[in-house]
Amino acid sequence: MLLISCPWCGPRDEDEFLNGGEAHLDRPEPPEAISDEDWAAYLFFHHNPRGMLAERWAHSYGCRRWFHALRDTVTHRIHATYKLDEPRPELPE
Amino acid sequence: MSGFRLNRGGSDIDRGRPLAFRFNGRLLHGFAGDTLASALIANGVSIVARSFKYHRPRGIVGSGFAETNALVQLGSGDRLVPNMPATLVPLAEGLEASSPNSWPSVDFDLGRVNDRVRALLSAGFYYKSFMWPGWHLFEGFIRRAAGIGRAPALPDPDRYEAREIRVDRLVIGAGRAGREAAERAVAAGEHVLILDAALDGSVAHLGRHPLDTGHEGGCLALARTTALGLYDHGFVTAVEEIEAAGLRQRLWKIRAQAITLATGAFEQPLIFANNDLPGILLASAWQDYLQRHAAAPGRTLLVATTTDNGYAAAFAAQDAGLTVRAIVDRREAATDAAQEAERRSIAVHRGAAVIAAHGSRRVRAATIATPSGTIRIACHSIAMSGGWAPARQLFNQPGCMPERCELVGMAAETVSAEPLDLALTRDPKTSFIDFQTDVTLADMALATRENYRSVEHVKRYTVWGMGTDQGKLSAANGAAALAALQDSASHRIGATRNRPPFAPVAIATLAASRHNGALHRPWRHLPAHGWHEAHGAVFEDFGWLRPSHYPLPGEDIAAAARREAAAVRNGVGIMDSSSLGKIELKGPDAGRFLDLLSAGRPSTIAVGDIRYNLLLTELGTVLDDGVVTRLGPDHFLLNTSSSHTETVMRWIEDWHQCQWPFDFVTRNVTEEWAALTIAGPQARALLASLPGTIDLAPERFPHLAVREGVLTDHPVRIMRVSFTGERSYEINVPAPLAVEMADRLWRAGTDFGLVPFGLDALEILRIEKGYIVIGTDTDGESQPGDIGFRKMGQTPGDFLGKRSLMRASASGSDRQHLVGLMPSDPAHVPLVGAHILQQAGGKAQGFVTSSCFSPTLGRGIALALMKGGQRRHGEKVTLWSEGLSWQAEVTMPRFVDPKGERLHG
Repeated sequence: MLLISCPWCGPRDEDEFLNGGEAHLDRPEPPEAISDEDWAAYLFFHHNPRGMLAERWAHSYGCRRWFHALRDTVTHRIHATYKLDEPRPELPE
Repeated sequence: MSGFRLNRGGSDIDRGRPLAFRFNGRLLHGFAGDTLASALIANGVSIVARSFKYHRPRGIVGSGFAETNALVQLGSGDRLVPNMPATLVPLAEGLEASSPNSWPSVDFDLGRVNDRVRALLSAGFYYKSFMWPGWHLFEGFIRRAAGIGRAPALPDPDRYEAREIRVDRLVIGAGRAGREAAERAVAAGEHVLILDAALDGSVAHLGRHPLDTGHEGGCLALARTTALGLYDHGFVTAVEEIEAAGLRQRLWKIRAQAITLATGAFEQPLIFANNDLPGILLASAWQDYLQRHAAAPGRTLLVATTTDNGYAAAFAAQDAGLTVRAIVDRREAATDAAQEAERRSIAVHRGAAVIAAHGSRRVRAATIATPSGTIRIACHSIAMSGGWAPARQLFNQPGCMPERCELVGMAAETVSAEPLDLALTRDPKTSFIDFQTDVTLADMALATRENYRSVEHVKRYTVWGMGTDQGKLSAANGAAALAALQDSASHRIGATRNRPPFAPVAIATLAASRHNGALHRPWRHLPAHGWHEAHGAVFEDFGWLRPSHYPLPGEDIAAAARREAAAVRNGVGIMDSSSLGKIELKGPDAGRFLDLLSAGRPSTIAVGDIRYNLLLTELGTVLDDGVVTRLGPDHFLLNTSSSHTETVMRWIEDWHQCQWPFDFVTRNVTEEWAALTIAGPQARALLASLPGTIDLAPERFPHLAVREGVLTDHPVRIMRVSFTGERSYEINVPAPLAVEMADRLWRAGTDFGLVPFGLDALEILRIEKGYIVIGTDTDGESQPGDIGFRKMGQTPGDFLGKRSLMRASASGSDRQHLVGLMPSDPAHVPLVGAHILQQAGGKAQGFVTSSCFSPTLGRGIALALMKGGQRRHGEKVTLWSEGLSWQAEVTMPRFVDPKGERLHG
């Protein structure tokens, strides 16, 4: 079970959280200006790296707030969690 | 000659405390300090189990966790425990144990015939046999053969508990390496938890520094505790055996900053023909039983070894007065141990190997290959030592190097097995790699021939390393076999991931942290629950406990529902709608936000009005429906389906926080309000008979409007919405007033013949009107146009799902549309789930989603999703379910009052 550090509540067990998939996706708008290809890319073509992924989490059974996390999909190590209005942190190589 | 008890010795047993127990019904005797395994050996019981696939006789092969054959059933009735290794069961007075997987008995097992038809059961059997069209021929056989133990059928009467703990360091294993690691960590000021499965007090002294003494290091030591699983971020589960009255086991959920694995190593079996015969044990187990329990697995011993440990077993046996026939050592070089053996006059064959064991019910002799030819040696038992494999089952569970996790002691060493020499294998079909799952060298060879290379693929194809063994006695030999077969090296083959639990555990222990019985999932009660009870309601689980019907004496549920539905169509009824989700949005941007979230532009609703609303996903599919009510310029109320409230609340929070952080607040007020619905032609007359401040005249309070005021001196919010098709008033009151308001409505209703109606009547009423339930009459592909709301999907501006609805596929003619069905036989009520066929035997065109017998029409009706259904009204179709079929006509999904005139007035 992951130990996830909510930016507001601190470290809590994974079962208090919901995962919301990849973070920093831009919803294209307005609909009339979006090609089918661009819309499909937004809906379906997400990154699925073997390694570092920025993803969305919600502390559903806590403060109910969404935030972002940088997680290594191989080791499950969470390198950082950060608030929605904060930029993706730079990690040392 | 089978096993027996020596007259003296045995460090663990107390000969002054004899214990009686039963194995497969036979009364046997042992001593305090015995395990079930040592007592069985001492009683001369050779065959303790039958193997998984071939039902071959199997005896005890190891000791402690290193036992893969002797999985026994303990106890009976509600205290039946399956799958316990006999080596881990302390002997107790009156203990009852039996062998699973054998019929009629473990000594004479008819399943042994599987050993003769093994061609059927080779590697990949499941994949090769479980194929259409003949798979069902094998199903019964597989179901009987699958699994080893028998699960108890009765509730577990024992108590279990769970505890959570956070520590700086968890040390698993309290052997020398583990104790040293714990002491170092305590000295460094860490808070340490050390655990070990051992029964003795070897870890007790480490617990002298309690954990809660401030900043200095401390240590909690748990004996009789086994780590089961190692998960991400330092999370470990362990089970502690408790003997206190009423409490059987305790589950520990440990979160550790760092983990030290001092789990030791498992001695490995050797691969030769019939290496699974009873009487063939690991050398370490041979020594264990001899020295700790004075139990000898046989009077004469042959040692097959690749290490000095085989010699240790031989010397121990000789010291106990037993005969050692020979030591067969794969190593050619002279060793100190070999010299000692010669000094003791024990024959040593160097550079030699056992290539086959002989015997039917237990070992009688062995054939050994020596540099000068093969010889046959008679023996009552074989002690084998194929080297040591580090016990990394926990370490290998996460599938990657766990963070801050170290291996110490033997667990840190590499496998010390000799490579397998295929030239020496006499009979691959009886040379077992994995005793527990009956995987042989022949299976590994077959998998290799069929080009399975990766250990994970071979594992799945052969079932090698599965079961409770998880590679303890099979990983190293499997890797060695694959290395030889693939002409590679063992370390290149690698190891499979292991699965928790490390040792068998009671399901009840894993469930210990959860509530059972009534609190497992507490009921959600309506605020007026007691009122419904008093009025004869029968309740059902709809997420909430809600009245399904209110039967009169002698009525069944169908009759009650028809009577209640007819009362609503012809007079007036009352039902509790409190479980409908109620989410308020308030603030200057609430309307703008709802426009982006909904198909239908709620911001254009006038204050005091209500509008039907659809929430869509970005795929344009329907997430939920309901109504939006505008209570004030900046104040909206969103109703959701009863079972979707939490989903919609999360949906709102997600888009509000992450995409459109507009200026408004939101709140789920579902439980703060009770809602009592008065529906039927007499609804307005009934309400008008009560004193109140709200003008009920239809021109000033029409359908789809909301009014706030006072009714019978209580504050109310009345909404004219309808899920029955009748004129309908939903009276919302603060939840604590629910019973009081229901009583007042009920008293006023006497003059109007007011009838309480439940969900089964509501189901009839809404199907007659073609009102859908999201998730019942829609599926994951349904879009607004498919269910009759194409215009809503074309609302100008952006909203969730809009772009997807603009794609050509959203208006494709092959989409599944909502339709009505009228069965040709009016008495027939179509089965929900029945397939719709264009002609008998054709492909399914859709399926029935809801159905009922309509009391209004006096016939069965149904709603369905059907390919291109909106263009197919009038078509005759066949409904098919489980071999039966019926005729029906496709209609528009509206059976009663298609123009909706009854709603008004």
